[in-house]
Amino acid sequence: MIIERPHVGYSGKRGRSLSLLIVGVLASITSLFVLSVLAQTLVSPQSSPQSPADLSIAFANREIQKHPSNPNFHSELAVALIHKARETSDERFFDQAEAAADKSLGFSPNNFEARKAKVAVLLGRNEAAKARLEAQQLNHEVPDDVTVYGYVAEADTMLGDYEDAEKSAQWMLDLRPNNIAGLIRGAQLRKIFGDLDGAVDFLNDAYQQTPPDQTEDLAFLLTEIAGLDLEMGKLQPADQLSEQALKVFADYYLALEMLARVRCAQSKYVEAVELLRKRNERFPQPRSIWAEAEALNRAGKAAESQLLYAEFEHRARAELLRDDNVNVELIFFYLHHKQDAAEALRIARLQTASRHDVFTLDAYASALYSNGNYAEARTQIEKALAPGIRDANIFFHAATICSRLNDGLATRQYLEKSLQANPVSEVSSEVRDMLAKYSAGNSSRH
Amino acid sequence: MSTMKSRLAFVGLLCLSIPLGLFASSHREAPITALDRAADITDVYVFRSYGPSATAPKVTMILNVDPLLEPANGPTFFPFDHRILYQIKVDNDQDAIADVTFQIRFSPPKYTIPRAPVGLIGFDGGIDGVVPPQITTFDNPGLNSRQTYTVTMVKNGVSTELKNADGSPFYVVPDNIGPRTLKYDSLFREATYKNLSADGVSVFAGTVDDPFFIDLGAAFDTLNFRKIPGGTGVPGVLTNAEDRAKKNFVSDTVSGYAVNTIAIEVPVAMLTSTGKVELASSPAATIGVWGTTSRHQETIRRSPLPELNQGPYRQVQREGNPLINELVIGIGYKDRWSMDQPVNDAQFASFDLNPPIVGVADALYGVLAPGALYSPPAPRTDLLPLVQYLPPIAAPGTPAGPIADLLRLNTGVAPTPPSSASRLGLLGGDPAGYPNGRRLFDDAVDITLRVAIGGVLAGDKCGANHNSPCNVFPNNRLGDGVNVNDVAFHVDFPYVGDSPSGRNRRHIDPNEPGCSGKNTVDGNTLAGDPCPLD
Repeated sequence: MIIERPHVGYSGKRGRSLSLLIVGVLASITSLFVLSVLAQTLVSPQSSPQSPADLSIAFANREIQKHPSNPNFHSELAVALIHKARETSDERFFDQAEAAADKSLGFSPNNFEARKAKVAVLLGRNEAAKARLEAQQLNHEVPDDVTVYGYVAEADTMLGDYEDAEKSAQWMLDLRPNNIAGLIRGAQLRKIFGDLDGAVDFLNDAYQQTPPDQTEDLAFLLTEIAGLDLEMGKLQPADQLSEQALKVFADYYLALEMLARVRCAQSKYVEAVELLRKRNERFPQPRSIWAEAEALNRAGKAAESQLLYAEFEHRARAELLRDDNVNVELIFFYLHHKQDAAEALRIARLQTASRHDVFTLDAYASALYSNGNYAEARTQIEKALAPGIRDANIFFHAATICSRLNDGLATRQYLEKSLQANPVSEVSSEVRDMLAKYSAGNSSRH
Repeated sequence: MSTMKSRLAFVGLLCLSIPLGLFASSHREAPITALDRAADITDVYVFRSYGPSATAPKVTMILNVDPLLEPANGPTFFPFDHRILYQIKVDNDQDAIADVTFQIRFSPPKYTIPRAPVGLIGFDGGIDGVVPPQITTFDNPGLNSRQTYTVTMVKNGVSTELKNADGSPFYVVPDNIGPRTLKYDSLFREATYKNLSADGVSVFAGTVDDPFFIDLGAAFDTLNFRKIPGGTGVPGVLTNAEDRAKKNFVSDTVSGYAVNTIAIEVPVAMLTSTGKVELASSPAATIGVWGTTSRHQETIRRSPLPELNQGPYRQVQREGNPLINELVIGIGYKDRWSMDQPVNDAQFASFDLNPPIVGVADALYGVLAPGALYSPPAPRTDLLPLVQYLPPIAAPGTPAGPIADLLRLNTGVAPTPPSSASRLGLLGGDPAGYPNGRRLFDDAVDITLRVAIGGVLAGDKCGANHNSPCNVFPNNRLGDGVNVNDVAFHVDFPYVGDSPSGRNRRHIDPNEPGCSGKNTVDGNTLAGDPCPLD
């Protein structure tokens, strides 16, 4: 359980608030310089000059001007640009980061920090298999680097190799107890292993240690905690934390997405639509377009939602064969909106060829179910649940599959688990209806 | 709505850059222990006991932790960390896996509240109820901080607690803050628990003088040794007279500092695989010893019961031979080395056989004394006796075992009386000294410089063409100029020296008197040659 919920601006955090003010003043003094440097160098995507990444970019560029052939400053620039990509969701920054890292490697072909930055870019682009290979090589060369263990753990998590991810993340925590990156990796895995309270504990520890001037990092952590609360059905704290994240880092796209999810859970679909519209004003991604389409649909604006669904489909299909894709969402799109179960299954098979994380397996099981292959669907959904994840939706999917197989006991157990995981999930009313039928002695839902 | 996170979120906070350590010493040699002082092993010593109470063959093992403690400190002093498991491990069958383990666990420091108004926090009563009485025993009411410990021997899967016959606890000797406050030597004596059983096991723990002696500043300023006035003129190279002298020519940077020590003395027969004292020529005579510190893990997978949520122990650090991690293991591997087991040391063999420090020294001395100092080329198989069971430490015919950093001791070699012992151990013709075990007065720095850089055990692999003898000047006269400890050692168990008093401790710095050996502190004899600055 979280012991002390982080409250930005709370009286107990007076020092932190003051620090934020100081950072703000410094940033405004330097903002002209920051902007001029940005204008001189890279493409200038929309950005707020006070952001931590901007300051880091400005610093690196200033040092590069003084020491143009020093590889370390080019590596620092690459790292800052990766941070900027996360701040904004503007993927062009990954290209710039890669270019900066390459420049560093041009001066120093084996520059470790530049090579690390290139792995981070691969992870940002979701190229998990390649990132893992590169990170493992770096780990072999310098086994004491905590960040590299984080990269390995991240790639393993993306690919669904959770036991390997756990080994790397555990090593991070052993090597540097309580280090922020290790806590975040640990939180991701605790979530997969079904320990959401434990994940919150880790993220809370990470939040307490994050420097107050790293506003986007703080907002990221608040958003992550909000997401866990949401998955446990704790709507009020999820709401508050998402709002706090937006105060810490204005218009933060991840926090806008999270708050929209909270509004949907609260059945406030119109507000959710507004939030997602705001989020999609800058650098919309297929996933956020899908979210807006869903919210519109639930808000009763079917025509508008269809336009966005079409845009989502177009963009998602363009990424279909890339590592960096939204195939999981695309599978559910074909299942729920296009009623094209065959295409969903085709995409699911494509996706499972390269990764077997719980969400891919859940989508695959759903596609198998919709194609009438219930036995194999059960095998896959049980694989998805094997790490221990406690997700109301996945439990519901498992119950539905077991119901088709006339396994009443398993169906009832999965339904109960779904409600235990999140009593107010988006499927909770369906779960309750189904459970009532089973309690009344029905052995089959359909 | 999808519960999937944006893929960009996965890059979260991966941008943390962890600075890698530069040169560190065994006092803070690896990044992991630079952040965890209480778990930082400074030195391990193991030797055949040579004191008068060792009437039967015994081995003394000492584990020192928590470096460079400033005795002028208080009021809570320097407790051992009760969350750390301290262990001394012994391999007796050449497989680099512990066969006998001594586990030392400390209690949380127990604080009592002073009754009367006191000038110094933590003391009570005394003259007019204001000036506290001198603390001479552990039951003195003025001693407001007490720590106890337990010692468990694990052998053949059986755990045996070593304890006082009357069941009274083992007390930890506190910091020697000064003579008005406490009578350190009385507490030291009281806390020396000798002959706990008929076997003759003895234990001791507390804050004592740091026995390591070194020109730390020079050594870790990339071997920036000092020129000794009237010496060879080459920094780090001693004359014969300087080499023989039982005094210092430059300042001992560790002088005046304390360290937390754990000392255990056991009969040789308790450690050998045969259960008896072996002749030096026996393959069963040589044991390998190392120390470890471990903390509970913060685990990804939690116990379902919160009260049992502490994970298993994870090793924070280990040490066998002195200076291995700091001088031999490369940057980027130091933590990995610290946290791994000796039996897995083959992964570090490339460092053992080609220590990075040798290349540094070659480059430096190529400038300082062109053509004078040549180290043997890699692979340095002459260093294998430090990491395998080989002669001249182990008897011929002893299985070499895997490459593993253990402090090896041939228990069949009788101890050398201190009066005739050499600070240079085996290199000085003293068979009972480092690297055959390690005594407190063995000059680990000079021995390591001569063995690792000078290659004096390498035969004829030195010179410009790597075909000349190595055990010649200057290779066999390398040294930092610190030959002895600043404080005298006890002549019987636990052998360690008294902690300098906080009031009167003296850190001897470059450019000040104290190098000639006339540097008694409590006796106020501070005369002597000044320590050279450059």
